[in-house]
Amino acid sequence: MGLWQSLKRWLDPSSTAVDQSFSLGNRGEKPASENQGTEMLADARLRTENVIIRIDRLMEAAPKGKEALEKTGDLSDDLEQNLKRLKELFRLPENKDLVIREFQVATQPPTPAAACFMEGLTNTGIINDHIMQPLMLLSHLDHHAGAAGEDGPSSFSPEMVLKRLLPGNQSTEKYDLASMADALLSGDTVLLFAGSRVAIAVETKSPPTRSVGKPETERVIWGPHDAFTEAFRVNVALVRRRLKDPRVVTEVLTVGEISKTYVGLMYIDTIAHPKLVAEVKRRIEAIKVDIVNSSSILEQYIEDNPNSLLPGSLLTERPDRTAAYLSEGHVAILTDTSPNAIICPITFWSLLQTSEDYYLRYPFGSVLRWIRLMATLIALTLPALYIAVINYHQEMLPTELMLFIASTREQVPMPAVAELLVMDVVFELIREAGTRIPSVIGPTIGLVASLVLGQAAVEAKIVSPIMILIVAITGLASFAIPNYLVGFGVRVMRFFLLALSTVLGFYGLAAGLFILLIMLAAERSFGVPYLTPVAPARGKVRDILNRPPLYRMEERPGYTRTSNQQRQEEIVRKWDPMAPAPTPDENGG
Amino acid sequence: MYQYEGHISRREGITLIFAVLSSMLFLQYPQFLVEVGGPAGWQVALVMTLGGMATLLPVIALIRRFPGRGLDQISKAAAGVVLGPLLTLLIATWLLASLVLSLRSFTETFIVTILPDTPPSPVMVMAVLCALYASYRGLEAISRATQILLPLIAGGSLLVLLFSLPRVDTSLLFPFWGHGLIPTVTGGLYYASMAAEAVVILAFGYAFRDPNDARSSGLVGTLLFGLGATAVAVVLVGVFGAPTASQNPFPLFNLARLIYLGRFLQRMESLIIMFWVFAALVRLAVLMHAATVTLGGALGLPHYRPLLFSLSVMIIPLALLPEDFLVTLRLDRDWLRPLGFAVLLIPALLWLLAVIRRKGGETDAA
Repeated sequence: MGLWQSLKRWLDPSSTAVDQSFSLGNRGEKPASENQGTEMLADARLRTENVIIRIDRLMEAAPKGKEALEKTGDLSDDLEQNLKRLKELFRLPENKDLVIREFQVATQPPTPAAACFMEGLTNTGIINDHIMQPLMLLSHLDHHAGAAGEDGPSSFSPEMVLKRLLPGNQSTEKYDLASMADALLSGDTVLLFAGSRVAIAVETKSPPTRSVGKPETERVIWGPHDAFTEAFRVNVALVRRRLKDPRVVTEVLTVGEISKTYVGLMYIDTIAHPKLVAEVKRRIEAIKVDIVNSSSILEQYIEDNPNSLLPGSLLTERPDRTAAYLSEGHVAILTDTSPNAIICPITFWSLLQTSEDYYLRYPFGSVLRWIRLMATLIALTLPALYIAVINYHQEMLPTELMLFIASTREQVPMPAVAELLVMDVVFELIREAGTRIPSVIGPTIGLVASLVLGQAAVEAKIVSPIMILIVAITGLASFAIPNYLVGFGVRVMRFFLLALSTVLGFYGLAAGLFILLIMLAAERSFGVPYLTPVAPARGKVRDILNRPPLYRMEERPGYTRTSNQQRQEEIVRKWDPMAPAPTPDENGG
Repeated sequence: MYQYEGHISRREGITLIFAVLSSMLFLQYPQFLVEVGGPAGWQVALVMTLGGMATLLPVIALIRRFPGRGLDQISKAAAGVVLGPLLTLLIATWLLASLVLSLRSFTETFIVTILPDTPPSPVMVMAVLCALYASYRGLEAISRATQILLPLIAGGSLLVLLFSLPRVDTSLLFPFWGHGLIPTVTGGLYYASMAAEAVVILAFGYAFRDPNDARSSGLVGTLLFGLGATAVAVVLVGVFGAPTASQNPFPLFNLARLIYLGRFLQRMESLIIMFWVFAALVRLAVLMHAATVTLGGALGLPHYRPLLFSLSVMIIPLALLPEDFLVTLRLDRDWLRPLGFAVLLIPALLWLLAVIRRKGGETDAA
């Protein structure tokens, strides 16, 4: 485009006309076009038709008894009619995901049939070898031997197909379009037959999944290295592998009007409190939303207080940890497409624990827990303490140290709190950038950025060296917090405490801590007080910050109120000469 | 009936009463004890403890007679719908007065000790906001937070006493009977009204599952407070001597100032004061909650929370009314404490009325 053309474009009065570019419409316009309106009406008609057909059939079946009622659906005898409705439902031919393969079952005479499945969700090998092959090639063998062949065409029935022709291990009858659609969308193959109002869904699920990998956020040095994946059944299997007990129950619920996500509720019957199981189920069943595609999203729908700064349940990617919690009477929720289990209820203290605490010998487990608590306190209060000391309580520091701090701060133009906020923001930037940068170079970039930026900031006299130290220690401490969500909460609380200590020194800091403590004390996780078993005290306060020896952990946590509190015998190390003698009752004496 | 506030156990009750009473030791009360008893200030504390426990007996008898009920319900049942709310109103007013004077006393203490350049209003606003939030979240939250904080508060105070031990001169504790037995006993009984704040267990009577828990909370909490007060009085007199200690309005703070653990750990009083701030906030929160719940009950309100906000706004100007710290101290010593006896008489009166009118206990059940 030449210069004149460009100028002409700007000088052309028509350039001020209404923009013709694409828009979804202005405020006040109807959201749907005329076509969309027609489509919506067609969809409503289809659904209404299905309902009307079903009601008619139910009325017919009512006098025949319960079994007939259960087998009543809206499918037609006419295969073409069924396929037409199915295509309408799945928006064919625009939708290319649904595959309909029409064929003839090799009965005498041949029976027209159709196999329907969703491409990508199914295992085509199973469809070919275990569905198509028996029906198209092997079913003719049947009429040579048995009553079916002698009776000719009338002998064909879905029951016969189900019992004699389909070798698949999970096949079910479907009587209506809606349940057929559900089966298709979960990866089953649905078979429709001419002259039959019954469809057969055969298990052919094979959704794309990754293999079991290592934990990303809950790594351990000692202990298992497998982690949950996005495949719901694989996750259930990973837990079941560790709990070989028939009392382990997995209830499967479906959440999400569009996503229809499988949500598995795992618990150990006779250990988990029935009221807890019922409550978790009630909360999940109450969710009426379009889509739930992650455990962390589901968690937000079911937790007690969504406004809390700390999580109301525990998200873990470790099957061993999940199994351990189940054995203590907790409930685990596994969401399809999510590599995390939700553990409920939890307490604040369990958020500071890791599974490694139990894999290490007990003194080291306890030491690690104390270090983590210290790290949490440092991450929470160190900047606020520093600001309070240098602004209000200088007398606490030895004179030489105070003079040194004052001399390093002399050339810094900003007040200490602004200096701290700037450094904190920079630190958060580095942290966020480190998370988004590809993992190979992420840590290097983070390290270089922090070193170079820190050094440059000190040399430019924008910040004092002691401030770098404070921010670095705080950052390091925040990385030592084992739970990612707690880390987030602590960051927000830190700014709150910083603001208060800037205004009122130690008094403000203490007031802020008091408010945070009240907030925690008022929290509940599925009916369990957040700070229990410390406040309120429930039974023996053990396994909180000190990890007792495993052989002394005879009881499950009191707060789960399990019907069976004892988890191991009173004396586990019976062989040990130092072990106390068993009580007479134990020997039956 | 008020919204569900949960329950508190015996342990939580003891912690709550102990925290509410012992926070007074960070104020001018140890000075009062030494003023009355001289070198025998600790004996005054002991008499005060026994007297306080004795004055609580009617409160406990009343809770046992009306288990699972709060003060407003008890007084209505025992004294009728006219006199009952009036008596409840008197206790609520006294609790409110105690809250206001405590707020002013703590504010002055913190300003003098750690925030010398800060005007009183921001300190008061912060304290009231904390108490408001705590009371808003309910009794369970307050008692649980107290359970976590009490070891810090008690530990901080204990450390001050322990590190002061090397400076204690036992000869300062003599003459053994101080100003004499009669002033010691009368003074101790006078300050027994310090335990009047334990009347909050009556206000929170509805939260105890078992009336015996309320009894233990009141008696054990007061006993622990008395032992604490005795220890503070001993160390205070041992370190400063009776004449100086009786003129010291911030005795524990001054003890903390004397601690020197080495060159790096000097002047730790600011850090220790942080724990005392916790104690002050617990006291204010409990008093505010008790006052609000009781007042709401007396006025027949279905819910205490709306009252909470208006009371919070009212408390700050009321606390600013005394001209200075000295007036606050005088109001506390000469008005609030004697009126504490009157407050403790009300439960006795209610109990008597309940017995005469055959209300509560087995009579009611029948």
